[in-house]
Amino acid sequence: MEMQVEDLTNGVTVVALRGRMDIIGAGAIDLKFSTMAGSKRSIVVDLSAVEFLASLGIRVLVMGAKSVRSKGGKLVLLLPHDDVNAVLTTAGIDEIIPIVFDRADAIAAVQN
Amino acid sequence: MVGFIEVFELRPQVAETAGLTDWILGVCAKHSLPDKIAFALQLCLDETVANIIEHNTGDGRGAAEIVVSVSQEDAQVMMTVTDDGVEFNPTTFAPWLARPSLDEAPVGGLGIHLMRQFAANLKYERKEKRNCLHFVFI
Repeated sequence: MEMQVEDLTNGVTVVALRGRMDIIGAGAIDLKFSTMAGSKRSIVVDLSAVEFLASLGIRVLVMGAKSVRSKGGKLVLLLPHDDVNAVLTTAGIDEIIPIVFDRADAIAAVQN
Repeated sequence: MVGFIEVFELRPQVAETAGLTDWILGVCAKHSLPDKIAFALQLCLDETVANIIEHNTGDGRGAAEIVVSVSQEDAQVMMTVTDDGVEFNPTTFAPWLARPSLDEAPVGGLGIHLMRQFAANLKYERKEKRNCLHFVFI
């Protein structure tokens, strides 16, 4: 599981995740993701290269979103592929964390 | 008629799940399982093994061994996951209730809900001092 953080000039942070957010993958990024979420206010999590997502991965995303929200910030999920999106919607995550399918829309959503 | 049976054993340790992932991906590819079933298999397997590892308290009552078998019969793919830990039946957990807001959302407890939704059938039995979870995928 890889995690790349890009700070844009407009104050938005784009976090690109790559790989499997399974038992090992979620554990590999948990600390890095929570540290990042604890220090940023406008985060787009690019899921387009995440090929698998299970509940431990969802836990990482929800905890990060809660952390950002506690500071009055916003976090959105960008471009999950179909299987990953099915897991997110089955879990009801789309009701509590916005899922966006266009990068520009995602950046705009966390800037407001 | 049984199309195939594949079996994998591991200890309930996070590091060993890497080999499990390689194995299940190999089984799905080798037997050309449909993408939807392959994903559901991986998801239910990851959730089940995560539960077993999480409940492995280190007090001697936890599981020492997990055995996974995947088989196909006609259009049905079956998976059974057994462990020798203390009795634990995840199917008795109350149905998952999605929360209306992020503030109310719990950060865990989703695994059994995902298993119920992604498997066509899920049954638990305690047999020969082992927890046995039987999944069917269509």
